[in-house]
Amino acid sequence: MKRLNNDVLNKYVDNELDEFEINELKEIINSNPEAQKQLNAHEMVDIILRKLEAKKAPAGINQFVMDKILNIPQSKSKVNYFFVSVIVVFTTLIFSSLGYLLSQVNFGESSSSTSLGVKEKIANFVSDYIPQVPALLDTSTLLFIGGSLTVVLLISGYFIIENHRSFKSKLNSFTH
Amino acid sequence: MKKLTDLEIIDSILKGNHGDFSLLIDRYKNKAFSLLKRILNNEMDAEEALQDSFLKAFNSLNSFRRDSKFSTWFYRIVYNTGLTVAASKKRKIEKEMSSVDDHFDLSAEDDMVYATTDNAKEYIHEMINKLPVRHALVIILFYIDNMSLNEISQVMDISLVNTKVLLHRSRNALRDLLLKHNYQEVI
Repeated sequence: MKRLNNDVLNKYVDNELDEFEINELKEIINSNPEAQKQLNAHEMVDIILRKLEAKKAPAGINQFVMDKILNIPQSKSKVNYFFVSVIVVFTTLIFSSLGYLLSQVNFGESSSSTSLGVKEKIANFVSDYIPQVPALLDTSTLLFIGGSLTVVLLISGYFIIENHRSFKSKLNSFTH
Repeated sequence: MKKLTDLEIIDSILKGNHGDFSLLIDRYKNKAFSLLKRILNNEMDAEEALQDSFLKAFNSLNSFRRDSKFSTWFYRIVYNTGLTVAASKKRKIEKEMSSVDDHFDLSAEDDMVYATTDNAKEYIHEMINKLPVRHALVIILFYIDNMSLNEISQVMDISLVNTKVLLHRSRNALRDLLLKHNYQEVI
Protein backbone atom coordinates (compact mmCIF):
# COMPACT_ATOMS: atom_id res chain seq x y z
CA MET A 1 0.00 0.00 0.00
CA LYS A 2 1.79 3.09 -1.24
CA ARG A 3 -1.07 5.55 -1.13
CA LEU A 4 -4.63 5.84 0.06
CA ASN A 5 -7.24 4.87 -2.52
CA ASN A 6 -10.97 4.08 -2.61
CA ASP A 7 -10.37 0.35 -2.35
CA VAL A 8 -8.32 0.72 0.84
CA LEU A 9 -10.85 3.10 2.38
CA ASN A 10 -13.74 0.73 1.69
CA LYS A 11 -11.81 -2.26 2.97
CA TYR A 12 -11.00 -0.26 6.10
CA VAL A 13 -14.63 0.55 6.96
CA ASP A 14 -15.61 -3.05 6.17
CA ASN A 15 -12.87 -4.39 8.50
CA GLU A 16 -11.22 -6.24 5.62
CA LEU A 17 -7.68 -4.97 6.19
CA ASP A 18 -5.16 -7.17 8.00
CA GLU A 19 -2.92 -5.86 10.79
CA PHE A 20 -0.03 -5.09 8.44
CA GLU A 21 -2.28 -3.10 6.10
CA ILE A 22 -3.82 -1.18 9.02
CA ASN A 23 -0.33 -0.17 10.21
CA GLU A 24 0.54 0.98 6.70
CA LEU A 25 -2.67 3.00 6.57
CA LYS A 26 -1.83 4.66 9.90
CA GLU A 27 1.59 5.67 8.56
CA ILE A 28 0.00 7.22 5.47
CA ILE A 29 -2.60 9.25 7.37
CA ASN A 30 -0.02 10.40 9.94
CA SER A 31 2.14 11.85 7.21
CA ASN A 32 -0.65 13.17 5.00
CA PRO A 33 -3.41 15.44 6.42
CA GLU A 34 -5.37 15.15 3.17
CA ALA A 35 -5.44 11.37 3.56
CA GLN A 36 -6.62 11.81 7.15
CA LYS A 37 -9.48 14.02 5.90
CA GLN A 38 -10.47 11.41 3.34
CA LEU A 39 -10.45 8.62 5.86
CA ASN A 40 -12.51 10.68 8.32
CA ALA A 41 -15.09 11.52 5.66
CA HIS A 42 -15.30 7.90 4.55
CA GLU A 43 -15.81 6.73 8.12
CA MET A 44 -18.40 9.45 8.62
CA VAL A 45 -20.42 8.22 5.65
CA ASP A 46 -20.31 4.70 7.03
CA ILE A 47 -21.37 5.86 10.53
CA ILE A 48 -24.27 7.93 9.17
CA LEU A 49 -25.44 5.11 6.92
CA ARG A 50 -25.40 2.69 9.86
CA LYS A 51 -27.86 5.00 11.59
CA LEU A 52 -30.27 4.88 8.65
CA GLU A 53 -33.75 3.91 9.73
CA ALA A 54 -36.41 2.11 7.74
CA LYS A 55 -39.37 4.15 6.57
CA LYS A 56 -42.59 3.31 8.36
CA ALA A 57 -44.98 1.20 6.34
CA PRO A 58 -48.53 2.60 6.12
CA ALA A 59 -50.77 1.72 9.05
CA GLY A 60 -53.26 -1.03 8.30
CA ILE A 61 -51.01 -3.05 6.01
CA ASN A 62 -51.03 -5.90 8.52
CA GLN A 63 -54.84 -5.93 8.73
CA PHE A 64 -55.27 -5.72 4.97
CA VAL A 65 -52.92 -8.61 4.21
CA MET A 66 -54.25 -10.81 7.03
CA ASP A 67 -57.87 -10.23 5.93
CA LYS A 68 -56.98 -11.48 2.46
CA ILE A 69 -54.98 -14.42 3.78
CA LEU A 70 -57.63 -15.57 6.25
CA ASN A 71 -60.26 -15.52 3.49
CA ILE A 72 -58.34 -17.96 1.31
CA PRO A 73 -59.25 -21.18 3.21
CA GLN A 74 -62.96 -20.27 3.07
CA SER A 75 -62.96 -19.93 -0.69
CA LYS A 76 -60.99 -23.18 -0.95
CA SER A 77 -63.59 -25.11 1.03
CA LYS A 78 -66.30 -23.64 -1.20
CA VAL A 79 -64.51 -24.96 -4.27
CA ASN A 80 -64.13 -28.37 -2.64
CA TYR A 81 -67.85 -28.43 -1.90
CA PHE A 82 -68.57 -27.84 -5.58
CA PHE A 83 -66.33 -30.71 -6.57
CA VAL A 84 -67.97 -33.05 -4.08
CA SER A 85 -71.37 -32.12 -5.55
CA VAL A 86 -70.14 -32.87 -9.07
CA ILE A 87 -68.75 -36.22 -8.03
CA VAL A 88 -71.99 -37.15 -6.21
CA VAL A 89 -74.12 -36.26 -9.26
CA PHE A 90 -71.81 -38.20 -11.59
CA THR A 91 -71.79 -41.26 -9.37
CA THR A 92 -75.58 -41.23 -8.95
CA LEU A 93 -76.15 -40.96 -12.67
CA ILE A 94 -73.68 -43.70 -13.52
CA PHE A 95 -75.16 -46.08 -10.95
CA SER A 96 -78.74 -45.24 -12.06
CA SER A 97 -77.80 -45.99 -15.68
CA LEU A 98 -76.12 -49.24 -14.72
CA GLY A 99 -79.05 -50.22 -12.53
CA TYR A 100 -81.49 -49.52 -15.32
CA LEU A 101 -79.45 -51.54 -17.83
CA LEU A 102 -79.12 -54.48 -15.48
CA SER A 103 -82.83 -54.39 -14.69
CA GLN A 104 -83.47 -54.98 -18.40
CA VAL A 105 -81.50 -58.20 -18.21
CA ASN A 106 -83.05 -61.37 -16.80
CA PHE A 107 -80.41 -63.22 -14.82
CA GLY A 108 -82.71 -66.15 -14.05
CA GLU A 109 -82.51 -67.52 -17.59
CA SER A 110 -78.74 -67.41 -17.83
CA SER A 111 -77.82 -69.43 -14.77
CA SER A 112 -79.69 -72.68 -14.70
CA SER A 113 -77.47 -74.26 -12.10
CA THR A 114 -76.58 -72.65 -8.77
CA SER A 115 -73.58 -74.93 -8.49
CA LEU A 116 -71.68 -73.02 -11.20
CA GLY A 117 -68.67 -70.94 -10.09
CA VAL A 118 -68.41 -67.17 -10.44
CA LYS A 119 -66.21 -67.46 -13.53
CA GLU A 120 -68.66 -69.73 -15.23
CA LYS A 121 -71.59 -67.44 -14.29
CA ILE A 122 -69.83 -64.44 -15.82
CA ALA A 123 -68.90 -66.43 -18.91
CA ASN A 124 -72.50 -67.58 -19.30
CA PHE A 125 -73.82 -64.05 -18.78
CA VAL A 126 -71.50 -62.59 -21.40
CA SER A 127 -72.22 -65.31 -23.97
CA ASP A 128 -75.98 -64.98 -23.40
CA TYR A 129 -76.33 -61.20 -23.40
CA ILE A 130 -73.53 -59.72 -25.50
CA PRO A 131 -75.44 -60.53 -28.69
CA GLN A 132 -78.41 -58.67 -27.18
CA VAL A 133 -76.47 -55.41 -26.66
CA PRO A 134 -77.08 -54.09 -30.18
CA ALA A 135 -80.76 -54.86 -29.68
CA LEU A 136 -80.75 -52.85 -26.42
CA LEU A 137 -79.10 -49.92 -28.18
CA ASP A 138 -81.83 -49.84 -30.75
CA THR A 139 -84.51 -49.27 -28.17
CA SER A 140 -85.42 -46.41 -25.81
CA THR A 141 -82.32 -47.36 -23.74
CA LEU A 142 -80.19 -45.54 -26.26
CA LEU A 143 -82.23 -42.41 -25.72
CA PHE A 144 -81.90 -42.79 -21.98
CA ILE A 145 -78.09 -43.20 -22.14
CA GLY A 146 -77.76 -40.25 -24.50
CA GLY A 147 -79.94 -38.09 -22.28
CA SER A 148 -78.02 -39.04 -19.14
CA LEU A 149 -74.67 -38.30 -20.76
CA THR A 150 -75.92 -34.92 -21.98
CA VAL A 151 -77.10 -34.01 -18.47
CA VAL A 152 -73.75 -35.14 -17.01
CA LEU A 153 -71.84 -33.11 -19.59
CA LEU A 154 -73.94 -30.00 -19.00
CA ILE A 155 -73.56 -30.21 -15.21
CA SER A 156 -69.81 -30.85 -15.37
CA GLY A 157 -69.43 -28.00 -17.87
CA TYR A 158 -71.25 -25.67 -15.49
CA PHE A 159 -68.98 -26.59 -12.60
CA ILE A 160 -65.82 -26.31 -14.69
CA ILE A 161 -66.82 -22.79 -15.77
CA GLU A 162 -67.74 -21.84 -12.19
CA ASN A 163 -64.45 -23.16 -10.92
CA HIS A 164 -62.53 -21.25 -13.60
CA ARG A 165 -64.37 -18.03 -12.69
CA SER A 166 -63.64 -18.48 -9.01
CA PHE A 167 -59.95 -19.15 -9.76
CA LYS A 168 -59.74 -16.03 -11.95
CA SER A 169 -61.34 -13.79 -9.34
CA LYS A 170 -58.97 -15.17 -6.68
CA LEU A 171 -56.02 -14.50 -8.96
CA ASN A 172 -57.21 -10.95 -9.56
CA SER A 173 -57.57 -10.33 -5.84
CA PHE A 174 -53.86 -11.10 -5.48
CA THR A 175 -52.63 -9.04 -8.36
CA HIS A 176 -54.73 -5.90 -7.81
CA MET B 1 -40.87 -14.00 26.06
CA LYS B 2 -38.71 -15.86 23.56
CA LYS B 3 -38.61 -14.23 20.15
CA LEU B 4 -39.54 -16.78 17.51
CA THR B 5 -37.18 -17.23 14.59
CA ASP B 6 -38.44 -16.82 11.03
CA LEU B 7 -38.27 -20.58 10.50
CA GLU B 8 -40.29 -21.31 13.65
CA ILE B 9 -42.98 -18.88 12.48
CA ILE B 10 -42.99 -20.47 9.01
CA ASP B 11 -43.35 -23.96 10.51
CA SER B 12 -46.32 -22.74 12.52
CA ILE B 13 -47.96 -21.15 9.45
CA LEU B 14 -47.46 -24.31 7.42
CA LYS B 15 -49.12 -26.31 10.21
CA GLY B 16 -52.23 -24.21 9.62
CA ASN B 17 -51.76 -21.28 12.02
CA HIS B 18 -52.17 -18.72 9.25
CA GLY B 19 -52.57 -15.91 11.78
CA ASP B 20 -48.87 -16.23 12.62
CA PHE B 21 -48.05 -14.69 9.26
CA SER B 22 -48.78 -11.33 10.89
CA LEU B 23 -45.55 -11.81 12.90
CA LEU B 24 -43.57 -11.89 9.66
CA ILE B 25 -45.47 -8.86 8.36
CA ASP B 26 -44.58 -6.91 11.52
CA ARG B 27 -40.97 -7.98 11.23
CA TYR B 28 -40.42 -7.02 7.60
CA LYS B 29 -43.02 -4.41 6.61
CA ASN B 30 -40.93 -1.29 7.30
CA LYS B 31 -37.73 -2.55 5.72
CA ALA B 32 -39.54 -3.88 2.66
CA PHE B 33 -41.45 -0.61 2.36
CA SER B 34 -38.18 1.38 2.38
CA LEU B 35 -36.92 -0.72 -0.51
CA LEU B 36 -40.15 -0.41 -2.51
CA LYS B 37 -40.41 3.31 -1.93
CA ARG B 38 -36.97 3.79 -3.45
CA ILE B 39 -37.80 1.56 -6.44
CA LEU B 40 -41.17 3.16 -7.14
CA ASN B 41 -40.68 6.72 -5.85
CA ASN B 42 -44.32 6.79 -4.85
CA GLU B 43 -45.92 5.96 -1.50
CA MET B 44 -49.17 4.51 -2.86
CA ASP B 45 -47.46 2.29 -5.41
CA ALA B 46 -45.02 1.14 -2.73
CA GLU B 47 -47.94 0.22 -0.45
CA GLU B 48 -49.64 -1.73 -3.24
CA ALA B 49 -46.42 -3.56 -4.04
CA LEU B 50 -45.88 -4.29 -0.35
CA GLN B 51 -49.32 -5.92 -0.08
CA ASP B 52 -48.65 -7.98 -3.20
CA SER B 53 -45.26 -9.04 -1.88
CA PHE B 54 -46.69 -10.35 1.38
CA LEU B 55 -49.52 -12.19 -0.38
CA LYS B 56 -47.09 -13.75 -2.86
CA ALA B 57 -44.81 -14.78 0.00
CA PHE B 58 -47.71 -16.37 1.88
CA ASN B 59 -48.95 -18.25 -1.18
CA SER B 60 -45.45 -19.51 -2.03
CA LEU B 61 -44.39 -20.34 1.51
CA ASN B 62 -44.51 -24.06 0.65
CA SER B 63 -41.87 -23.52 -2.00
CA PHE B 64 -39.43 -21.80 0.38
CA ARG B 65 -36.62 -24.37 0.38
CA ARG B 66 -34.70 -23.08 3.42
CA ASP B 67 -31.35 -23.21 1.61
CA SER B 68 -31.18 -19.44 2.12
CA LYS B 69 -32.47 -17.14 4.84
CA PHE B 70 -36.18 -16.31 4.74
CA SER B 71 -35.25 -12.61 4.53
CA THR B 72 -33.21 -13.18 1.35
CA TRP B 73 -36.06 -15.18 -0.22
CA PHE B 74 -38.63 -12.58 0.84
CA TYR B 75 -36.63 -9.54 -0.33
CA ARG B 76 -36.22 -11.22 -3.70
CA ILE B 77 -40.02 -11.34 -3.94
CA VAL B 78 -40.21 -7.70 -2.81
CA TYR B 79 -37.55 -6.59 -5.32
CA ASN B 80 -39.19 -8.42 -8.24
CA THR B 81 -42.66 -7.20 -7.26
CA GLY B 82 -41.30 -3.66 -7.15
CA LEU B 83 -39.87 -4.01 -10.65
CA THR B 84 -43.13 -5.54 -11.93
CA VAL B 85 -45.24 -2.73 -10.46
CA ALA B 86 -42.81 -0.16 -11.88
CA ALA B 87 -43.11 -1.79 -15.30
CA SER B 88 -46.91 -1.88 -15.07
CA LYS B 89 -46.96 1.82 -14.20
CA LYS B 90 -44.64 2.39 -17.14
CA ARG B 91 -42.06 4.01 -14.92
CA LYS B 92 -38.91 4.66 -16.84
CA ILE B 93 -36.54 3.03 -14.43
CA GLU B 94 -34.85 0.96 -17.14
CA LYS B 95 -32.43 3.77 -17.85
CA GLU B 96 -31.46 3.98 -14.22
CA MET B 97 -31.22 0.21 -13.88
CA SER B 98 -29.25 -0.24 -17.08
CA SER B 99 -25.69 -1.05 -16.06
CA VAL B 100 -23.47 -1.30 -13.04
CA ASP B 101 -20.69 0.29 -15.07
CA ASP B 102 -22.64 3.47 -15.68
CA HIS B 103 -21.21 6.46 -13.85
CA PHE B 104 -23.49 8.92 -12.20
CA ASP B 105 -23.31 12.58 -11.43
CA LEU B 106 -25.05 13.99 -8.37
CA SER B 107 -24.01 17.60 -8.88
CA ALA B 108 -27.39 18.67 -10.28
CA GLU B 109 -29.26 17.56 -7.14
CA ASP B 110 -26.45 18.31 -4.72
CA ASP B 111 -26.87 22.08 -4.50
CA MET B 112 -30.58 21.89 -3.80
CA VAL B 113 -30.23 19.18 -1.14
CA TYR B 114 -27.30 20.97 0.49
CA ALA B 115 -29.33 24.17 0.69
CA THR B 116 -32.29 22.49 2.35
CA THR B 117 -30.54 20.31 4.94
CA ASP B 118 -29.05 21.28 8.30
CA ASN B 119 -26.38 18.70 8.96
CA ALA B 120 -24.33 15.88 7.47
CA LYS B 121 -26.77 13.19 8.58
CA GLU B 122 -29.78 14.86 6.97
CA TYR B 123 -27.74 15.67 3.89
CA ILE B 124 -26.54 12.07 3.41
CA HIS B 125 -30.02 10.68 3.97
CA GLU B 126 -31.42 12.97 1.30
CA MET B 127 -28.60 12.25 -1.12
CA ILE B 128 -29.26 8.50 -0.92
CA ASN B 129 -32.56 9.19 -2.66
CA LYS B 130 -30.65 10.91 -5.44
CA LEU B 131 -28.37 7.94 -6.08
CA PRO B 132 -29.25 5.74 -9.07
CA VAL B 133 -31.81 3.08 -8.06
CA ARG B 134 -29.49 0.10 -7.85
CA HIS B 135 -26.88 2.01 -5.88
CA ALA B 136 -29.52 3.19 -3.42
CA LEU B 137 -30.99 -0.30 -3.11
CA VAL B 138 -27.62 -1.80 -2.23
CA ILE B 139 -27.19 0.89 0.45
CA ILE B 140 -30.67 0.17 1.88
CA LEU B 141 -30.21 -3.60 1.87
CA PHE B 142 -26.70 -3.37 3.37
CA TYR B 143 -27.32 -0.73 6.04
CA ILE B 144 -31.04 -0.95 6.88
CA ASP B 145 -31.66 -4.64 6.29
CA ASN B 146 -28.19 -5.66 7.49
CA MET B 147 -27.76 -8.07 4.60
CA SER B 148 -24.41 -9.40 3.50
CA LEU B 149 -23.11 -8.56 0.03
CA ASN B 150 -23.67 -12.17 -0.96
CA GLU B 151 -27.33 -12.01 0.11
CA ILE B 152 -27.79 -8.69 -1.70
CA SER B 153 -26.37 -10.19 -4.88
CA GLN B 154 -28.95 -12.99 -4.62
CA VAL B 155 -31.82 -10.55 -4.04
CA MET B 156 -30.85 -8.31 -6.94
CA ASP B 157 -29.66 -11.15 -9.15
CA ILE B 158 -26.28 -9.56 -9.85
CA SER B 159 -22.78 -10.85 -9.24
CA LEU B 160 -21.06 -10.45 -5.90
CA VAL B 161 -18.38 -8.30 -7.55
CA ASN B 162 -20.96 -5.95 -9.03
CA THR B 163 -22.75 -5.69 -5.68
CA LYS B 164 -19.49 -4.66 -4.06
CA VAL B 165 -18.83 -2.17 -6.84
CA LEU B 166 -22.26 -0.57 -6.32
CA LEU B 167 -21.73 -0.26 -2.55
CA HIS B 168 -18.22 1.15 -2.86
CA ARG B 169 -19.17 3.65 -5.57
CA SER B 170 -22.10 4.89 -3.50
CA ARG B 171 -19.92 5.38 -0.43
CA ASN B 172 -17.19 7.04 -2.45
CA ALA B 173 -19.66 9.46 -4.04
CA LEU B 174 -21.20 10.36 -0.68
CA ARG B 175 -17.75 10.82 0.88
CA ASP B 176 -16.68 13.15 -1.93
CA LEU B 177 -19.81 15.22 -1.35
CA LEU B 178 -19.07 15.48 2.37
CA LEU B 179 -15.55 16.61 1.57
CA LYS B 180 -16.85 19.11 -0.98
CA HIS B 181 -19.07 20.73 1.64
CA ASN B 182 -16.46 20.48 4.38
CA TYR B 183 -18.74 18.34 6.49
CA GLN B 184 -15.73 16.43 7.78
CA GLU B 185 -15.12 19.26 10.21
CA VAL B 186 -18.22 18.18 12.10
CA ILE B 187 -16.71 14.84 13.18
